[in-house]
Amino acid sequence: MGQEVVITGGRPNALAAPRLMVRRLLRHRRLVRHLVMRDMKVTYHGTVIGYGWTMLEPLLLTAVYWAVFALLRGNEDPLFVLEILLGVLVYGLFSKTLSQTTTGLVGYSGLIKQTSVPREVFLWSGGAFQTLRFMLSCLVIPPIMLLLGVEVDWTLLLLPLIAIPTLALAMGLGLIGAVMHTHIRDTAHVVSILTRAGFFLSGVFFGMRHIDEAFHEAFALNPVAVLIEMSRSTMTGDTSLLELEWIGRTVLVCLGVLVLGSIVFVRREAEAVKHL
Amino acid sequence: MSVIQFQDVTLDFPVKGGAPTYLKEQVTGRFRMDGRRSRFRALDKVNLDVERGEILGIVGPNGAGKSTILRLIAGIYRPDAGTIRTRGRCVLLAGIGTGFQSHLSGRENIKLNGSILGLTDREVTERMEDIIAFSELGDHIDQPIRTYSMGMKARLGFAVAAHLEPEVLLIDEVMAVGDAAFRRKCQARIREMVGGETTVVIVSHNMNTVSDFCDRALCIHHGKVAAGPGPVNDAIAMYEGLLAEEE
Repeated sequence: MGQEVVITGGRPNALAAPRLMVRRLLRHRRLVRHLVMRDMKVTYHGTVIGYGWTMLEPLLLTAVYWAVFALLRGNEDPLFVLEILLGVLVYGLFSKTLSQTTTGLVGYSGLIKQTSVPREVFLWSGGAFQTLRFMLSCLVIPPIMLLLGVEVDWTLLLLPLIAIPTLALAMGLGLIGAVMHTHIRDTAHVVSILTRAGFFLSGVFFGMRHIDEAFHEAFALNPVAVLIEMSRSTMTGDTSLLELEWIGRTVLVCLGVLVLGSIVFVRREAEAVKHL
Repeated sequence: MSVIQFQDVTLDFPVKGGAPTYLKEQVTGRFRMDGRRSRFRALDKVNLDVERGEILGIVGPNGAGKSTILRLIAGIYRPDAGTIRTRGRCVLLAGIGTGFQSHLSGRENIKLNGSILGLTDREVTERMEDIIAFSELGDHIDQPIRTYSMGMKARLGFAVAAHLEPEVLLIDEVMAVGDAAFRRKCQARIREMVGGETTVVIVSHNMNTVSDFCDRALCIHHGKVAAGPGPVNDAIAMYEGLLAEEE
């Protein structure tokens, strides 16, 4: 006979919430893996290239950017094309994870109302799926660099690490958004607009080196912009445009948002589920 | 020994079963003069005690709170007041096949559904052939389930559920799956499951099911216990009386 489980009214303690979420996720890690594999199969179901799209997509994007910037605008700097590609990949991980997590509770409402699986398992499986796609897409960066005649530095090995703070930031905001979305269904639309605006404000199509030095400090207040710059510096090994303080602050903000998101989610999800 | 215990369990839901959708509702809901947002009391101070190996039936009119009790036992909802104590793994059988992915094969869906319902990978592997045999799907098991009929999906869903071996089994109107022969098979399987030490709570509108399976029963009306838990016939009589009143 299993252990006694006692469920009472009231919300879990805020300080214990992040630890509670980690414990639940570890207990259901196999389900997270199954859900990620299901998402991979379903996303690429029926395509000729299958999972190859995770790598072909960034390759084709690079070709488009090269055509636009090198051929039409005369900017033949191969680094510029790669910088845009990295911006698109990092911002894609952030925005897709945020959108998917925000709509996660409503999207999984059928399952949530029929099973006792902790709800965060479904939301984190979405984040894990987007991270896997990001990692697979990163595999094409070295061949593209070689193709464009850019030297491949060992620092490129650090690129996958950028996914950690990016995922933390997106999940933290998404966990709060998911609870809000059950109460106010406009939330997903607002998030969609904000992520589109963020695309142009986070330096996806430009970098630190393209803006006036006087604005660097203000630009670095945007954590996503710093994460994109960090990804670019892994490609060149050049961190001269990034101050250590900005990197430290960004990582702390990302982790802080994740802790805040997990507290809000664990304390509010029981009420949120009633709105499904 | 008590396996399920409710002490003054109360649960409220937002009205209309959903969030205030429009801005006007948001504003009027937040600034009501009485300071309360509109709530619907789904359960009001419900007390319940289910012993190990017991089979309890819950009857009552639509919207009485029967399924809500099962979802509280399963841990899907958290009570607003009161305490719930459970012992052992609880599995809720409701909406058979929930979470099935139409593009995946029957076999892949068994892995996914088993995992959602709490089986480990090893348990799924060990029970895979039994589940496939029970579902009677034969060679279709490796086809995507978008090619299945509703009956085939229901059979697959029940086959997974029937191999979970929980300590507490919660059944919400899922006794009418597939054709007559498969229904008999399902009922025989449920009898096997309840014959052991499994504690079972059954919600049904079918009084034959309740009187055939249950040791005791409870009648719920407007979120309150109207009769029981006690003799099955008393709860059924109360339920039929409530239905007659409503007519």
